[in-house]
Amino acid sequence: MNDSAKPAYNKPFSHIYVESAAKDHPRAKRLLARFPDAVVIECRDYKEIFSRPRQRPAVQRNSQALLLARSKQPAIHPGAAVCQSFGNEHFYYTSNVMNCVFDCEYCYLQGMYPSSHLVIFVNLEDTFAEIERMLAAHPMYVSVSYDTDLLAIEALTGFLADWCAFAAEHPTLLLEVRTKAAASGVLSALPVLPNIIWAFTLSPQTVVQRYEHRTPPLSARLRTAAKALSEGRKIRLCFDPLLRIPDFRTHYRELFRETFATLPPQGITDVSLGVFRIGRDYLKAMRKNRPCDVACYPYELSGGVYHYGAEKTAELLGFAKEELKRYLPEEKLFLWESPENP
Amino acid sequence: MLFLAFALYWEAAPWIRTLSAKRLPEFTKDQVFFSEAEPEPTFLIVTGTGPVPSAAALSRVLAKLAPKEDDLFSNIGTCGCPDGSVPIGQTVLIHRLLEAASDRSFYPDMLYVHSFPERSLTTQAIPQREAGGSAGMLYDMEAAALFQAALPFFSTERMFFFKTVSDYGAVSELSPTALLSEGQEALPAIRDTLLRFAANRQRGAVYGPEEEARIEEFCRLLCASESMRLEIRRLITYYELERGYAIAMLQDFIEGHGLRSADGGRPLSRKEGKLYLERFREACLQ
Repeated sequence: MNDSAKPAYNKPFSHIYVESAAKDHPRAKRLLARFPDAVVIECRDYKEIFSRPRQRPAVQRNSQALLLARSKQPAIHPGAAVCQSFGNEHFYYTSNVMNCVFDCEYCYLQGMYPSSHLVIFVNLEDTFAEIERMLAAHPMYVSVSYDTDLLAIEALTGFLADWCAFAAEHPTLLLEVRTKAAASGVLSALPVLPNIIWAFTLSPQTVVQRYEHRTPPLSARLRTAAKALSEGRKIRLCFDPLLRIPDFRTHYRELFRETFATLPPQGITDVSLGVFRIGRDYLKAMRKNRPCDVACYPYELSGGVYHYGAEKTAELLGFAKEELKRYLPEEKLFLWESPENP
Repeated sequence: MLFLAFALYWEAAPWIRTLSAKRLPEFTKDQVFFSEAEPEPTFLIVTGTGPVPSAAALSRVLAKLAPKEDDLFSNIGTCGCPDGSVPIGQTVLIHRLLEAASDRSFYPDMLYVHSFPERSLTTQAIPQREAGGSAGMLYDMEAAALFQAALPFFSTERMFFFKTVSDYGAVSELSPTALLSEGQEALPAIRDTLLRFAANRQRGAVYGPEEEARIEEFCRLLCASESMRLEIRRLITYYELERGYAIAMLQDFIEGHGLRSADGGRPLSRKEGKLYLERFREACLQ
């Protein structure tokens, strides 16, 4: 053996940690059956692994473990200030999966979680029960794929099929599924429903290559969105986060051109626009764990959120908005602006 | 750098001999050996047996040696396998350490490919002398305690616990000869694996001594506070990753603003330093 050779990383999910309380759940059994060669380690609580001190999430990214757990109480959170409600009064988000199989350098998850391992809460039915209880009081707009990319792991979890079945029975529930995946075959197998919005996050190809590791290229995402649109699905385009990369005007102008050369603008439900912004504590953790150029940029802080500052935000957002108005009516554009310039 | 912990001298002896390690006389309370053997200089620490004495010894030694971020810790030793499910002489890598006294579990990260079987292990204060125990569980008297003692110094992906099964719980005492022979047999495979693991160092933008000196000089010229220093380093990292040649840009900035003259003349005040930092920030973003 060559002593100086670097070690190979284990394949993703080579190790699966299962909570004792989750191991007999049908979803856990199904997931375990998909990885017959995995080393299965039983634990009392997923936090024994996920919330350990002294982890190095940037290294764990190279070999994600899978943690199967039961959520103790259904986590349905009010939408955060840095997220857009798209005019919906009762805006919530929920996370049945924590962390993502993609590896975007700018992603807030790196600052939010102490670990890069993927946690799947198998008791989705408890979330459904809680949402049903809340729906009795008012309609709901729920984002289900913020802290992960559910479409990217649908073949593994089958969660979106369950969400679709649930949404079909609850017309006052509006779901948003945000994704960077290009799994058009998986998406086509899911029912077309008027109360599910498929939100595709799109970035210039140069951003995809440089920052959005393991994600499909822009062209593949656009093809998937086009196919979804042709199937009659509601499509949202998310140009979020906009990054102040060198020569950003050229790159984003080309992104918008390519997007609307592939997708008919009249078919798009709406468009989300927002510059990169991140909570103070998350950025601190990102700078410690992964000092990349996005994390090290000298942002301005206001209202507990780091952002490019009013002037630079207005410049970037204003440019993107004006460009997009060439393709779409203004009322279809939803903008996130800095807290000091709401 | 490797930091290897053994409960007994006879477990460490094959490693001391193979690596030609020398005892460090400055450690009067503990047996600590050091080897300069390439490619990884290695400290070998004999901790004593039992969770409390071993954790205390390891803490004492690591506090003095102050391991660095990318150094690697391993506990190497023997264990019992009361249900007989692992053959005697087999070395395993531990993925879960259960502390019997507190019923708490600890998990080293298992990120790297290796050739050892993996098992869970229970650490308890008294020897497991009876056959049986939990199915497939191994037993020792130090590992979970050593994990906790090492955790302030090493990340969870830099800790590895290798245990060679020495008995099925029915022996009253292990002979030094048996420990020596088992340790000698397991050593080459463990060492190869540890050296491979140790080669995986994670470093961001790291500058050489000359570049570090330039950054330090810039901080000094600006009369930088600790928070200003942090920002300067972040800006340099940002520029380096975004465009490259950060140190050349820094040099241009120093010369372009005549900051070098401060060496011979009046030093900048903190207030003036902050103004120059603002200009430097703008230069980085241009």
